[in-house]
Amino acid sequence: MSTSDTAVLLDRPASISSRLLRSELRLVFTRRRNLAILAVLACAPILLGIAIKLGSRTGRGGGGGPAFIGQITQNGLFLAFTSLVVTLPLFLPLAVAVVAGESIAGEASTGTLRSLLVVPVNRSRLLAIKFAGIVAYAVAAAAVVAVAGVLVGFVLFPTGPVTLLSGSVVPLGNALMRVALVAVYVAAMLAAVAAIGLFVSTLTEVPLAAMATTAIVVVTVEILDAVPQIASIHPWLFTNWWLSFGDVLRDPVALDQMTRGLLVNAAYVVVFGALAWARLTTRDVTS
Amino acid sequence: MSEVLRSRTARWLVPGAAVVVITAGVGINAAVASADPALPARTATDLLVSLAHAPGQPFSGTVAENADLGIPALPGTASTSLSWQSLISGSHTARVWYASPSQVRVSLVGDLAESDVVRSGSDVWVWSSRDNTVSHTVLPAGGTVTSDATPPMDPATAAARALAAIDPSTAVTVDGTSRVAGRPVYELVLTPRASSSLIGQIRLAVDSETSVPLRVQVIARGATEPAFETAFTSISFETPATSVFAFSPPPGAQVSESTLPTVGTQARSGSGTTSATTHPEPTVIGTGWTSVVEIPDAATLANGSGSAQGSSSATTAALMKATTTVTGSFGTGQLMQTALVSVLLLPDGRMFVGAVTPDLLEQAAASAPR
Repeated sequence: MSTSDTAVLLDRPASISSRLLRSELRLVFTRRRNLAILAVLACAPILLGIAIKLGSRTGRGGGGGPAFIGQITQNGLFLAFTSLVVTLPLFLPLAVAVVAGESIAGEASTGTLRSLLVVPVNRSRLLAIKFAGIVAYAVAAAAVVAVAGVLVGFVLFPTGPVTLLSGSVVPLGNALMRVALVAVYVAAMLAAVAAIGLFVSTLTEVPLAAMATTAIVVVTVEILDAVPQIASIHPWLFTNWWLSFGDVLRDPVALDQMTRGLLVNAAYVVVFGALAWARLTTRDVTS
Repeated sequence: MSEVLRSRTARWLVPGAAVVVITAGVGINAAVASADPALPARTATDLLVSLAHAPGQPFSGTVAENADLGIPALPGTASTSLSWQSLISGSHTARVWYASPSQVRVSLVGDLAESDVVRSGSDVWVWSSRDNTVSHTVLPAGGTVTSDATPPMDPATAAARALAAIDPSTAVTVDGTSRVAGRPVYELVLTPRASSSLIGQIRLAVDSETSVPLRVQVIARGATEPAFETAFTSISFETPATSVFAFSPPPGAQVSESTLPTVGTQARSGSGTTSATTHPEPTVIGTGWTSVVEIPDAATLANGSGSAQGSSSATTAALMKATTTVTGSFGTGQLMQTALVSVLLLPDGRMFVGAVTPDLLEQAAASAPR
């Protein structure tokens, strides 16, 4: 694509970008695979809720298990938190990896990347739009888990004022606000996965390879994060801050950890976003 | 072609530049934070006096505690564990609020869990989010019960205890200035003179403005890295809001009540009180840094608290594996040495504990009357 062509067509770049963003969002949220993943994510709170309900009936509720599991039988809202804790290490990053791996490599594999680049939107903007699409999906994934958790929790368990980690009690509305904040934080954490996936996706024309690589990177970082011998590098790993969302449930709310988590993950977004940009804008697109 | 190549190379430099900028930013931040500030010189005595006046200063902040005592890994003492006993090994984070001696709150923070000790007037609440338990202790009216039973998590308490141990057996010096939690501090160093003490140095970082101790490091004799360290990572000297100290047991929590002030804040579900009252009192042998505590009935004490904590017998088993067998005029005993503490357990149930070399501990055991 020569620069003179684009100069002619770039008279209304903003509207073209927004059109492209809309079509990208439509693409992400109508692809059957992506919707199926969201449905599976919504099943996590349902399964968890039913299991805990049955367990509490047979009196096997107490002891062990993920965080908050004991609180769920007293307040259904905690099902939302437990569901996020359970899905955050694997399911949510996997969902984002699938969409992110697909983003550029998918277009390249079906030969549509070339035609996409004929659209008078430069490659940088195309990349930004692709990233926005993945992040939108990450927000949706976190929201699906949180909302399903709240709904299933309300159906199966008692509701009412919520006991925070600090032992103080807040009204239900306040607690729902906190659930929303946690979902936003989780989505922000997944943005780092989105950026890594986007970069990997620019490297290959095989979407499945990009998805697998992204998932492997996330799991590898999580394993490193669990090795105590290298504790000194843990603060620099993006997964280290994922569970800091528990600080929303303290009274007063603790912001130190979450702020650091957001900064570390933002650094990953910047670096891998820049890598993806450098790759896509220097790449010869042949298919 | 070369132009294209140059621009292509330039594009790949952007992510490189991003990495450089981020690491440089972090590095500069760290360098600024660790640069030794220039402060007017102060003598050790001067600092000690102002330290003694510091308890009037309200504060709130976040504290990082790290203990590397050379104790074997104990069950339930991983950093995710939030029992107060877990403070003896690993790293922990706590949030501390202090308005006055009767308004104090320490929150031990874990991933998705929290343990709180709140003192508000004569009420002391101990809350565990993981167990969903509350223990409520009412202190006697007018009594100034210092919370000796709470672990020295907050540096102010830890420093007060270190200062209480000062006597002619200690060399006190000022070792320059430093920065803790972004604030300029004086480094006050206490060095025990007795060579049989396992403690090489206790370093207190005293805030230059408020004289609140912001960091306490305990360094074992011959070591360079602290075996125990507790330090503020952030601190504010504004009086915390009173709502921070308000605590009432949440509905559904298991509440245990107690009015025995001697057991203090560690009374847990009733059984803690029985073990403390039915056993003979520990005695102290020696003075200062080399004092050794003799606990007459250690074995039964461990069993008694075992019912309260559940994991205690597993802890005892793990500890016993780390001991060596020693013999002397006291008979045969099990000796465990950590970086800061030596423990000698005799078959008759007596236990000797001290921050001293095993030799001195064995001497104390040999000379102690049965």
